[in-house]
Amino acid sequence: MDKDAFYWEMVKRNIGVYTIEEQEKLRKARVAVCGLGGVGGYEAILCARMGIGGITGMDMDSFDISNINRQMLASTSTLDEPKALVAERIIREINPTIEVKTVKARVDEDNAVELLSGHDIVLEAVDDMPSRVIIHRTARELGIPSVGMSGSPPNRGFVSSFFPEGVPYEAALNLPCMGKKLTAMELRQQIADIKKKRAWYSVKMGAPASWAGNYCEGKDGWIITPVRAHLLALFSFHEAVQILTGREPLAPAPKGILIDLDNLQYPIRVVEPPEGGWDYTTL
Amino acid sequence: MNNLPSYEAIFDRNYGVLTLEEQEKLRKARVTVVGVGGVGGITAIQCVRMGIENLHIIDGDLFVPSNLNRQMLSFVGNLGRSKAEEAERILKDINPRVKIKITTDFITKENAEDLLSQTDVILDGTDNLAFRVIVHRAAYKLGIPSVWIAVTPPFRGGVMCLSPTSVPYEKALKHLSLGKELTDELEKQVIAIKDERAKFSVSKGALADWADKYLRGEKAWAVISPVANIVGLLASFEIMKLVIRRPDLEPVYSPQLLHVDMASNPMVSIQTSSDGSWDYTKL
Repeated sequence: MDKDAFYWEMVKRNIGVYTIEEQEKLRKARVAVCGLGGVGGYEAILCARMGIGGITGMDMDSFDISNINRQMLASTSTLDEPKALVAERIIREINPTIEVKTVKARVDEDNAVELLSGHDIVLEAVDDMPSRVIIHRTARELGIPSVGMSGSPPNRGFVSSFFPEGVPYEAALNLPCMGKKLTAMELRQQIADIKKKRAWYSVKMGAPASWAGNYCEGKDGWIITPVRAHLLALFSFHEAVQILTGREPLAPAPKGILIDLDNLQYPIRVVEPPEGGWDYTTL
Repeated sequence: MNNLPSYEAIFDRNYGVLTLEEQEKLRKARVTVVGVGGVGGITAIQCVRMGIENLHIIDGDLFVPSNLNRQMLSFVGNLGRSKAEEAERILKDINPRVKIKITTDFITKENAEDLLSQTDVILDGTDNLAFRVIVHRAAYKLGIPSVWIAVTPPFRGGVMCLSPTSVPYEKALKHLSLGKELTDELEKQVIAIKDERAKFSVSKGALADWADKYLRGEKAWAVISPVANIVGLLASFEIMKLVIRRPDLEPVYSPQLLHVDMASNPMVSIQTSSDGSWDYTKL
């Protein structure tokens, strides 16, 4: 089967939901996935399955045993392998016609422009706040839309889409670093500490207080359940597909997709921010 | 393998969301997945990543290229192979301790009760509406909870748990077959519900051209990756609830419906029906 025939056979069940013209747009699209863990690893797989033409995946870590509970690229046979390498191999096993490039690196002030330029959309799937700010800020500077997410215990999550001409990431989330470089350690720490406040807010929402204490002292990792990480990946990816096909995303910033699986009426909905914008500690 | 990771190490990050007792319940639970395609495949993966160690996979199908757009167990390298056998291989790579029984046949009236008797929860991931009646009738008779799912163009889906004490499947979804022997003629009428679903889906944004071709038998069901995966994830969360039985985390039992529509707000909601049943042609 030639490359074209394979491509259209692979994506034929997409047609009916999307038109052939929209599928062509996805085939031409170049997507950057920052982070290949619980959220980004799944997003990379979704890009390949959906028929996205080009993927760049970035992650500097290797797989660890405790990744297996949620990271779709992690298995017993990929332990200790770089996430970037495994991602590239699995993407090619899904769609050998895809243009895939992976980089064993963390996106930071000094490499962000180089890593993110040339893409049509950026999917942010990292777990530290300074990196998130750098990714969305750089995408905006480069004129590229970006999709951001965050997840908190027990089963909560947030997704929003950012456009170069729309509300910036830091403004939508009321972060205190608007317009400032994140090279100063003090500011970086201030941004990173927001996550500790989110841990304590999570306790109010049902997470164990002993965990939040341990997390803030650096003894425990962030609590993550598979289903929440994966819903974040799927809703972020759906935003990206809507944007790439020229349709409307569900949550252009400052709107957000709020996930709370303990909400027994509306587990997932689109919400306008409260007056004055989002308080990131509550997300 | 000498360095087999311990169960505790793999599922360490579940702790905090789940208690050790709940994790142990998952470890001991037996889950049967009927059909490991777009929904059943991701549900089976999620079950293993949550720590379930006993699965029975039933699927008589082989992988084809048009599965790649959404089926998480399909890869270019396993096209033409048995879905059940591939599920076993991939799930064991995630957690080598997992015990998997496979049946490479389809479910039938004759074998259903025999195949489904030794399990704690059944996921119905088949795409044939007559098979579904067979699965849920057998589950009801055996006193085992079962989970129904639907994926409908363009962006819709549903999940519903059934138990011997909730509204029976055929009543909850207004089947003409309710209380009757499932004859060939009745099977045809049940299967025809899917044609009505295709017609109705056009009013929700599916392509009219696709629906025409589907009704003429020229096109298969249209389905994209994010929707199939979201339904599978939500189904795996229901399976978790059915296993851990936490008092304040009730499964969505019939006639309640966990409704998905990625093109509306809320995107996921728990809905109740005034007369205790649903018009399946509109789901």
